[in-house]
Amino acid sequence: MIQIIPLDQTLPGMVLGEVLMSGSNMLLPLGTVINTSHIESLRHCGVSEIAVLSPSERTIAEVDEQREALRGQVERLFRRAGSNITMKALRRAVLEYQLEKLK
Amino acid sequence: MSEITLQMVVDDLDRLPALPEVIWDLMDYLQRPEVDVGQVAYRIARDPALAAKFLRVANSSFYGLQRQVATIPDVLTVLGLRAARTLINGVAVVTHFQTLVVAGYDQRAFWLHSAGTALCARALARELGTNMENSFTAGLLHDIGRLILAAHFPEKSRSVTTYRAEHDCHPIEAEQEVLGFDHTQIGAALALRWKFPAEIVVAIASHHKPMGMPAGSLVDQIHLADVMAHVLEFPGGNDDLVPFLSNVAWNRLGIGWVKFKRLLGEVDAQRNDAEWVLS
Repeated sequence: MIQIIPLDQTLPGMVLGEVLMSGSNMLLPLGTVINTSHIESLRHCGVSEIAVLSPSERTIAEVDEQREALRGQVERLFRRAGSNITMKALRRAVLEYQLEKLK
Repeated sequence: MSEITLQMVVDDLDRLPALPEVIWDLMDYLQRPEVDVGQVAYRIARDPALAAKFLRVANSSFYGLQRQVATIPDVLTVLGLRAARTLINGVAVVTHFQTLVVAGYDQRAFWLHSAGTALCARALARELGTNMENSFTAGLLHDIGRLILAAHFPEKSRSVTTYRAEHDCHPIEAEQEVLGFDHTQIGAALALRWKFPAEIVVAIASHHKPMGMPAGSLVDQIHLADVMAHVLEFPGGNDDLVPFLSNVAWNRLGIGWVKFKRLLGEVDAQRNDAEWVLS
C-alpha cells in the first residue's frame, strides 16, 4: 500500500512508492530507498510530501525469506525422521506452528 | 581405548560428589505430607548457593510473580509450598551438578535442553492435570546420564560425539553403537541411587522407548516434552535432530495437534526463563 507522508516525516530507509516528478522532470524513480541527502535535496526542490510504500509491503520479500528459512530449519530438524506417519504429522504441525508465528 | 560397560559406569556413580547432607535433608523433609514453611525456609537457607539460585528463579518471570520477593519465607508463601517443592528439587540437583567439571563438553547446551524439557513437561502436566512437580524434575533430569558419562568417561563421551557427527544419527544411536548402552540407563541408575520418586526413575529410564509403558505414566509426558524441546530448539544448532515420536505414546496422551501447537506457543513465550538454569 502506498502512503502519502509529509517530507519532514520521511525517514531514511523508506521506499518511494511512485515516481517523484517535478513538472515533467523525474526527481527520483519508483522504488528508491530514501537516504538523508535525498530528503535534503527534495526539500530544496520545494517538495512537501512524498508517496512511500507502507512497511508491510516493504517486508514481503523479507517475510518470504523468513518463511523459506523456517522451512529449511524444520527440514533440517526432521532430516532423519523417515516416512513414519506420526513423524510426518509432527513435522506438519511444527511447520504450521512456525509459519503461524511469523504472521 | 578400553571398553566400558554399563556396570562400570554405575559403579562409578560413587565417585560423584555426594548430594550434600543439607540437600538430602531438605528433599527428605519435602516428601512429608505436612510441611512447615519456617522449617523449609530454614533448610534452604543452610545452603547459600541453593538459597541464592532459588531466589533468582522465583523472581524471574518463570513464576509470574507480581512483585519482587526478597526472602525465602516470602517465596514459599507467594508460590505455595507445592510449587516451591518443584523448584527446590530442580534447583538443588542443578546446583549440585554444576560443580562437576566437564572439559570439552557443551554444558550450556546440555542445561538449556534440560531446562527447556522441564518447561515443556510442566506445560504438559498442567494440560493433562497431572503432578507438575514430578514432570518438571523429570524433564530437568531426563538426560543427566549424558552429563555423567561426559564427566567421568570423557574419552568415551567424545567417541560418541564423533560417531554421531560422522553418521549424522540420533545421539542415542551413537551411544548404543559405541558403548552398547545409553544415557537413559545411567540416568535411571543415578535417580534410583538418589531415591527419587519411582515415576521419575522410570521416566528417565524409558523416555526414548515409551511403547510398553502403561497409559497415564510420566514416561509419555517426558517423551513428548523431549520432542517439544528439540522442536523449540532447546538448545538449537545445526546438528540437532527431533527424536523419534512414538505413535503409541502420542495417541495415549490424546493431546491432538491443535493443542500441541498451543502448548508450543506457551513454552516459546517463556523461553527466556530456561536461562535460570545457567545463572
